[in-house]
Order: sequence, then structure tokens, then C-alpha cells
Amino acid sequence: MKKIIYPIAAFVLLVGTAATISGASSNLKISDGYSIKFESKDPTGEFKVMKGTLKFDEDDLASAKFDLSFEVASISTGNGMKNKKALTAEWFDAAKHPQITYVSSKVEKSGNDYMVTGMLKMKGTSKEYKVPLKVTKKGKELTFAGSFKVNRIDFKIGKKSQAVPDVMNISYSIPSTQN
Amino acid sequence: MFKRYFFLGLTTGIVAAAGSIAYSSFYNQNLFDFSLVVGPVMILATCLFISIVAALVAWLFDKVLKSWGEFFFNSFFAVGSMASVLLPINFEIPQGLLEQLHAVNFEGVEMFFPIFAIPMHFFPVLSWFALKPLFFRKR
Repeated sequence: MKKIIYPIAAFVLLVGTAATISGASSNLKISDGYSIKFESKDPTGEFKVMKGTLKFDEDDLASAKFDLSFEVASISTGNGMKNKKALTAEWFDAAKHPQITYVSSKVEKSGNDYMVTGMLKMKGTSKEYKVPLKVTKKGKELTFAGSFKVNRIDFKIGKKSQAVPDVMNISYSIPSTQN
Repeated sequence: MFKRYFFLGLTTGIVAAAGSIAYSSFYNQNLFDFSLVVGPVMILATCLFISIVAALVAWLFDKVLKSWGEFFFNSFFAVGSMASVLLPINFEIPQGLLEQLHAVNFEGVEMFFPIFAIPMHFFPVLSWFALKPLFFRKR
């Protein structure tokens, strides 16, 4: 009987410490095929490069975290001239502000889906944004998707004009897998 | 025999964790503050986990390889510790945490993270080698 105490103690210690370590690093891995699109009357396009960390467990929303950054220079409107113009100081000022970031602070259940609250930072200005989130689960793959509106004037991106609407529709789809 | 390996592993974990926590707290106070990235609970859990795994592997090597067990286990532990330095070198600090780190330190401080973390990767193996003679005395 005494002989079994130490293997049990070793097992308990291993499980306890492993749970502590994995709890801190149970992030999801962002898979290829993500899309971050913006739409308006004109322009329409997407940001092609995104990185960051995702943590999501539907049974433990308090620990959920979305920490994403988008490379401004990866903007693609389908028109080279417009892409270059978007990077200038009047618009995104990519030289000074190369990234757009979104860091969540809270994830809540909203009907069948979720609502993410977090800080959206563009061109040096941070604003709290609530972003609707739909989660689709397929085996080990989780896909996060949704759409919301952003007023570019709030972030001093460009000036008011007849040609470019103030409000852009943003839609995203981010597939991920468990690490 | 397992009992001795278990207590060697447990003591190694505690000593390595104490050393690592003291080192990280000195580094955080006097050089750059990385306490947001690696806290004392994480350090304690990691040191205990590595040391208990080491105890299980050492016991298994001893059982299977007999007199060669110690040589192969020591080599395995030493090489494993050396290889593990690739983890902090390749570690990417999440964006949100990075902004908090920049706020308490300065922009670009993340380049010093490997220098902070790498020494701690050798604390368990060094503690194991230092403590082993206490548990397995040779005449």
C-alpha cells in the first residue's frame, strides 16, 4: 500500500502543474484562410495580413481573449493607386502607425452568439468597440465570424468627403485550431 | 527506489523554483519588468512539472538501462535543457501584453525577453545535479 503513495503523489503533482501551465497557454492557432474585409459604396477591400492570439472556451467566457493586429501595409482594394493612397499620412499613416489592433476585455453571451467588448486602435486613436461574434465549431476547428460598422472619422482616417463614406462595414472570418 | 527519485524531483522543483523566482524578481526590479509575461505561479508550476517528469524518466532509465541509466538520463536532461532555450527565442508576446509591457518599460523591451528567460531554463538541471548526491549517496 505504501509503495503506491509516491506514484500517486507524482501523478497528482504532474496533473496539477500541467493544468496550471496549460491554463496559461491554451491559445488557439489562427489558420490560413482568414479574411478581414471592409465594404462601402467605394472603396471595398481587405487587410491580408493578421496575427495575434485567440483564447476561447464557451464554458469559460471569463478567460476568453482576442488579441489581434492587422498590418496596415497589407491593405488591398484591388487598385494599386488606392492602396498607395491608403498608406499616406492623410489616411492610415502606415509609416507612423503600421498596425491596427483589437484587444478584447470582455466576451459575453448574446442570444445564440456572443458579443466581444474591446479596444480598437487605429492611427494612434483607441476606442471601445462591441463586436458581434458567431462561433462555428467543426471538430477541432473553431471559426469566428461577424460584422460591425466603423466610423473612419472617429479615428481621423481621411477627411469627410462625398466620394468616401464615413462608415465602413467590416466583416471578418477567422478559422482557428486548438494548439 | 521510486520514493528517492520522487523526493529528488520534488526537492529539485522547489529549489529551482525558489532560485528562478528570486532571479526573476531581481531582474524585474533592476532591469526590465517581465512579471506580466511570467509570474511566480507559472515559474513554480513549470519547475515542479519539469522536475517530476525528470524523476519519472530517471527512474525509468535506471530500471531499464541499469548502470548506463545515469549517464543517458544526465545527457538527456542536459541536452533537453540546452534545446529548450529555443522556446523563449521563438516566443511571441501577445499584442495586448506587449502594449502593457511597453507602458511599464519602453517600446522594444521584448527583445530582452530571451535574455531574461534563458538562464531559468538551466535552474532545474543544475539543481538536480547539485541535489542528487543527497538522495543517492555513494561511498
